[in-house]
Order: sequence, then structure tokens, then C-alpha cells
Amino acid sequence: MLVIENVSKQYGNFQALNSIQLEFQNGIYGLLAPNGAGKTTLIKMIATLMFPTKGEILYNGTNIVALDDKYRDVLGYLPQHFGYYKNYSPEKYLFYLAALKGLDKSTAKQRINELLTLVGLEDVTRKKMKKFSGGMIQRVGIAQEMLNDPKVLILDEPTAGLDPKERARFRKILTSLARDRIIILSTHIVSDVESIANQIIMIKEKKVLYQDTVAHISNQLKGMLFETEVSLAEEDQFRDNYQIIGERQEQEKLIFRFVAEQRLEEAWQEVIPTLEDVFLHVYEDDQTLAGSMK
Amino acid sequence: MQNSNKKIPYPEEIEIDQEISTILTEGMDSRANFWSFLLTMYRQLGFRIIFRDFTEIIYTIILSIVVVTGLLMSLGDLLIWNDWNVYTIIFTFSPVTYLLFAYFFFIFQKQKPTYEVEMVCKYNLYQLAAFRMLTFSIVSMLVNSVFIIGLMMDQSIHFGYAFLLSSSSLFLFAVILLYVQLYVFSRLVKLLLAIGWLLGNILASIFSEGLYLIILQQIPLYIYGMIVIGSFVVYLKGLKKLLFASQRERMS
Ligand SMILES: Nc1ncnc2c1ncn2[C@@H]1O[C@H](COP(=O)(O)OP(=O)(O)OP(=O)(O)O)[C@@H](O)[C@H]1O
Ligand SMILES: [Mg+2]
Repeated sequence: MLVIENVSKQYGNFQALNSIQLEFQNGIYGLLAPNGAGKTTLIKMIATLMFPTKGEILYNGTNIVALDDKYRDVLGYLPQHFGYYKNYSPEKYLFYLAALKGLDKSTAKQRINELLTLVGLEDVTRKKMKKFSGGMIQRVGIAQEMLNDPKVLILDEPTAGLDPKERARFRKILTSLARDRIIILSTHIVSDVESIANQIIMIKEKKVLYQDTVAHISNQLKGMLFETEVSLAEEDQFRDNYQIIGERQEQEKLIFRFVAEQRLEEAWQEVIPTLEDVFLHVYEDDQTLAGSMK
Repeated sequence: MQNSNKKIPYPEEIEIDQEISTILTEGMDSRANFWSFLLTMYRQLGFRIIFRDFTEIIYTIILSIVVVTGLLMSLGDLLIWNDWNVYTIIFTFSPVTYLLFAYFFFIFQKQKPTYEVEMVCKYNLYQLAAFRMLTFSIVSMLVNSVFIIGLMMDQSIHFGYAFLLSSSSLFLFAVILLYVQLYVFSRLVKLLLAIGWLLGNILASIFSEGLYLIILQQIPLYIYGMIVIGSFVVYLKGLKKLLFASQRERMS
């Protein structure tokens, strides 16, 4: 079990995360938040690439910094920007990393074959990676983090640069891996985690807003989400009065999907909220976005 | 016989198992011992992983030998080497090989694209760096010995004395550089340190030749021996820190 115990992170004078409290059991966790919310910051601390300014991170009750190489031995990590040696083939790079991860040659060989097949790179194992597309590189990244069969697998925006087909394939791979390990994956794309995550974690204003199942989080908006037709003449006023989450145009009419405290008009259709609705609602007026340095 | 056997309090089988397993786990704990950790690491990784950039290292060393030799030869007209005490030269230039290794191949660059991937592995860059620096220092010692032997063809030098002098200079410098590397990750600082060392020694030997030589030559052999051993021990301590550093918590 992995526990984030009251962790804060400060970059100089800038507070990136404040008193984060989280617990992870085996399963998939989706760390869902917009750009600049602090996903990478949190993930780098879990990967021991950075250290909390306050608080600590415990794996089975021991601080991960004290566990040192014993923790890294059970850790798999895919950084947001996966670095590689351009002149290496995936096979060579994986052999190199497998050695650093403490695998012996024959185990490594078998594992690398399995993993390259799993990510669909079995035909290009000996090609130099400088000739690879972004999606192919990302798949090498996914293979590399599974080398040591980690108990804690963290992925920072793993689907960036993957096309829809590859995203679907990636979700399938993750689900197949989730049985006996903790998987934490960060993203700002709701559909990446909606269908596969056991729990969703949302960070807002440097704090944990939710750690809950998709269903529970979606229920936050139950009874408050509606769709209705609005004529072009009424459009501006409607926008001022309600928080619009989605809109589409049908002939002369606009159809708005919006949040309201309660149903005020007969014509309003109550709709079942999705995770995406909550995401858009929650971050509608988010200051981290406007205030972020990026 | 049987009687005396009974008198000895003999631990239960379960106890034995437990004790054996604690002894094993503690004995197997690779952090317990610096040397055994390095040895295990070498056995698991092998030369080609730890020195992934071996060809680059060789190229750099050859290139720098060519450059330095060329430089010394062309400076030969300017500075009259014969006026220089050969031991001054040895003391001043002994850390140069080590410096080149440490400057170019410390492999600890946060800007490197693969940094994050390599850093989360069981054997990460800290541990590779510790192994490499130790190897570099020993190789530098050998290179220095070869240079001393080379000098002996031309000058009358006491090899043991020259070797100790060169090694104390090497490890004194290595200790300073290593501790700088532990806390400051800037190449500029390393460069300044190197320039400082060379310039400091050259200037000291030029402007207060008498005192410099007295210090250098009046120090008895066994003191140099102690300096070598002492600085080597401190150097190892630094490497140990690199290997199992708790200061990691502070850097972020
Ligand atoms: N090294 C740093 N020094 C100073 N500020 C930083 C540093 N790294 C991140 N930040 C700031 O901390 C905040 C959180 O950044 P972080 O990279 O963790 O966000 P993120 O959720 O991963 O964003 P993205 O989705 O764009 O990757 C941002 O405002 C960012 O500008
Ligand atoms: Mg990020």
C-alpha cells in the first residue's frame, strides 16, 4: 500500500501542492486535472525524483526515501517526456534499462520479447529509435516501465501523442496489468481514465478535491445538470445566468448543456452527468489555469 | 557423550530457522557494505553497462593527451621547463586526468533526456557515478605512474616519492571536487575549481618558489603516505555518500 501523508511541495516561493493526503491499494487510479495543476509534481515525488517540502510518502509503512533501491526495485515510471538514446534500438535500450533494474540476462531477454510483443513493436525491435514515430516511442516507454514487473506503476500523461486506436489498445494493456499492482496514471483527458480507473483523483487549487469512483464523482452533479433549447435571441442572457458545460447547434436553435441549482423550467431536460461534466464544472473557474506559469 | 550433549541448551528448530533468516537478510542487505555493494553491482551490470559511453571516454582521453602534449610543447619555448622543479610539475598536473574524467563523465546531468528513466532504476545514476569515479581515480593513478616513469627517463626522480606526491595531489583534489559535486551540480564550479588548482599551484611555485618547494620537499615520505591514505579514506567516504546518500532528501 502506498500512502501520501500530508505532502506539500514548494518551488521557491511558489506553492505547487498543499497538504495532499492519498491512499493507494492495488488497482488503477486516474489522476485527473488540467494543465499546471501539479500532476507531474505529485508523480515525480512518488517516483523519488523530487522530495516533498513537507510530509512524506510511505510504501507499506516505510518512507520511500529510506527504502531507496528497494523501493526503486518495485517501481515502474513513465515520465511525461520519455527520454531515449536516438541511436539505440528498442531492444538495446530495454536491455540496458533491464540491467540497471537488476534483471539478469536471460530473464531480461524473455521479458523484453514479451513486452515488445505486448506493445506491438515486435517487428521493429532492432530498428534505431530515431526513426520512430511519437506513438512508437511512447510504446517503448510503456514497455520499459514494465521490465521489473513493478508493484507501483506510475505514468505521467502516457497517452500524449497516441492516436485513438493506440489509446484504446493502451487502456486494454493497462487493464490487463492492474490485477496485482498499484497503477497511477495522470491525464487531462477524461476518456483515458473514465472506463478503466477504479478511482479518480482530482486536484484543485493545490489540494485533493476528490478521491472516489467515477460513479460517485459523477453523482456530484446529479439533479443539477440539464439540457435545453435556447433561441439565438436568448443566448447571451442564458450564458450569463448559467454555467454552460456543452453546446451544439441544431438549425436555428442552440442546445445547451448546463448546471443549475434546480430545475426551473418545464422545458429543461435533466441529464445523467458524466465524469467529463464534473471535470468541466469543477475547473470552469479554476485559478491554477489562469495563474499558471505555463 | 550423550549426557553432555543434553546439557547444552540447544535452540529449537524454528528458532534456528529464524536466526538463519535474519542473518541472511542482514548479510544480504547490499547497503551494509560499500565494497560488496559495488561488487554486486559490477557482477549484475558488467563493464558495458556501467561504462556505456566507453568509446567516448577513450576518445576524450586520447584527444586531451594530444592537446595537452601539444600545448606543453608549444609552451616549452615560453616557459623554461628545466627551471621548474620536476616535483612541482608532478604535484600540479597529477589531478588533470582525473579532472577530465570527472568533468565530462560524471554522468550526472539533470538536463540529459534519459535522466528520469535512469534515475528510477534500482541501480541509478548516483550508484553508477560512485563506481565510475572510483574507477576513474584508480585509472588516473595508473596514468600518473606511467607519466612518472616517462619523466624518469629524462630526470633523476625517486619513483616512490614521486608516486606518493602525485597520489596525494590526486586524492586531495579528488576529495575537493567530489564534495563540490555532491552539493553543487554546476559544471562551471568544477571548471573554476580546476583552473583555481592549476593556477594556484603555478603561481605559488613561481612567486614563492622557496617556500613552495620547502613545503613540497621537506615533508617526509611517511607524511605523504599518510596524506594519500587519509585523503583516499575521505574520498571513499564521499563515494559512499554518493552511493547511499541521505542528502538526496535535501536536493530537489
Ligand atoms: N521546477 C519548477 N520550478 C518552479 N515552478 C514549477 C516547477 N515545476 C512546475 N512548476 C509549477 O508548478 C505548477 C504545477 O506544475 P506541474 O508540472 O506539476 O503541472 P501538471 O499538472 O503536470 O501540468 P501539465 O498537464 O501541463 O503537465 C505549475 O504552475 C508549474 O508552473
Ligand atoms: Mg505534467
